[in-house]
Amino acid sequence: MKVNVVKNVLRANDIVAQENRSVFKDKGVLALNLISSPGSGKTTLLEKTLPVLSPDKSIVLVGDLETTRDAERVAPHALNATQINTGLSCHLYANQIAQSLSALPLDDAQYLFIENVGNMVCPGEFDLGENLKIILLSVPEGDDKVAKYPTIFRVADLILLTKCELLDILPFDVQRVKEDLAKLNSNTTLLPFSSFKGDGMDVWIDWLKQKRQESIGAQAKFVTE
Amino acid sequence: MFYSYHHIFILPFTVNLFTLEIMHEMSIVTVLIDQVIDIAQRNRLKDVQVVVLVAGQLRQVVPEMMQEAFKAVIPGTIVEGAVLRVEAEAALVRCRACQAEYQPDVDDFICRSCQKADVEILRGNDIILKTIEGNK
Ligand SMILES: Nc1nc2c(ncn2[C@@H]2O[C@H](COP(=O)(O)OP(=O)(O)OP(=O)(O)O)[C@@H](O)[C@H]2O)c(=O)[nH]1
Ligand SMILES: [Mg+2]
Ligand SMILES: [Zn+2]
Repeated sequence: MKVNVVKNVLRANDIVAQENRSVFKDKGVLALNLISSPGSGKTTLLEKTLPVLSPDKSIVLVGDLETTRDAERVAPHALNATQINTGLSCHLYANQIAQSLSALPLDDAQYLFIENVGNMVCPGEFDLGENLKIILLSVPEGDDKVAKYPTIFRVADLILLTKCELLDILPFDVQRVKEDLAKLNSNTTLLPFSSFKGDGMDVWIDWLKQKRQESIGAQAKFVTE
Repeated sequence: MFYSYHHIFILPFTVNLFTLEIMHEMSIVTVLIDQVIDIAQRNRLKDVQVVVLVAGQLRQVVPEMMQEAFKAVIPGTIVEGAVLRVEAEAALVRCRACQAEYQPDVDDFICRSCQKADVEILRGNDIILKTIEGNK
């Protein structure tokens, strides 16, 4: 017997992601999904960003295969830091976020940073309900990564070129990365960034504040209409 | 609902196959297999022989890796022994600037008419479970 199904395999995840998105909207929280290869500097970025942005208004959810190390590192700088151990799953699912939300102080928060599991491929398939996807590409990874992982870079709202102080000592052709990106998405931005030296920090903080304004501004308008 | 899959990672592969690449297909197969079992049960199939999947070009699924991942998850389920067929679906996009419709490459979305890369995806972005076949 043949059964015609015609069912979107990722739909179940997408439905939960939409529910998460409406929770973030209700609470006026800007949710950011941080995606990169292992070790590109996601946790360090958060350690440096939160104190400048608004330590008592930021929540961090960290997905990791094992350990609570990353959550411990950001906890001193955050309103709340929660680790989701994904076991052997190489990415977060929307329902892992959904299950965490009830325990989070969302009423008091303005930003929710989700540090995804270090991986450039699978997180692109699984919408978490975030407002924006931030991709980190670190200089030591090499300038061919956009060409190798085009799918994730195409959907990025912002790309941080992390560890950019190493541009002085490592061979890395920024122009090549820009050209590869331009073929994928005319609207994307590449921001050279160094958590160690502070490059790009001001632009990044302003960008976050502006994006939050845009998202809650849209909501305020909705309420008054 | 998504947590109960640890058994699938007890792999018949060698470690060097278990790279990000196979993990990508594995993450999709993990979700897929659950749905196949559910549909088979609702249709009162006692086994599943064939599963047909349509993979959009933009999802960058490698059929052979999908099949490897599939083989790893089916033992002990009613899908055991089934064959997975993966049909590719070409991508189609519409340019937001000039409305031209064209087929992009995964690494090149530049509009063939106006040279911008700002598109709405019309086709090729989904992974669809199309049919399953089995015995009642
Ligand atoms: N040179 C340089 N190294 C950095 C910078 N930021 C982070 N690192 C280093 O990069 C390594 C990895 O940083 P993490 O912040 O742990 O990276 P991650 O992306 O959170 O790693 P995973 O969670 O394991 O995927 C650490 O040794 C950091 O000290 C930077 O701006 N410059
Ligand atoms: Mg980390
Ligand atoms: Zn055009």
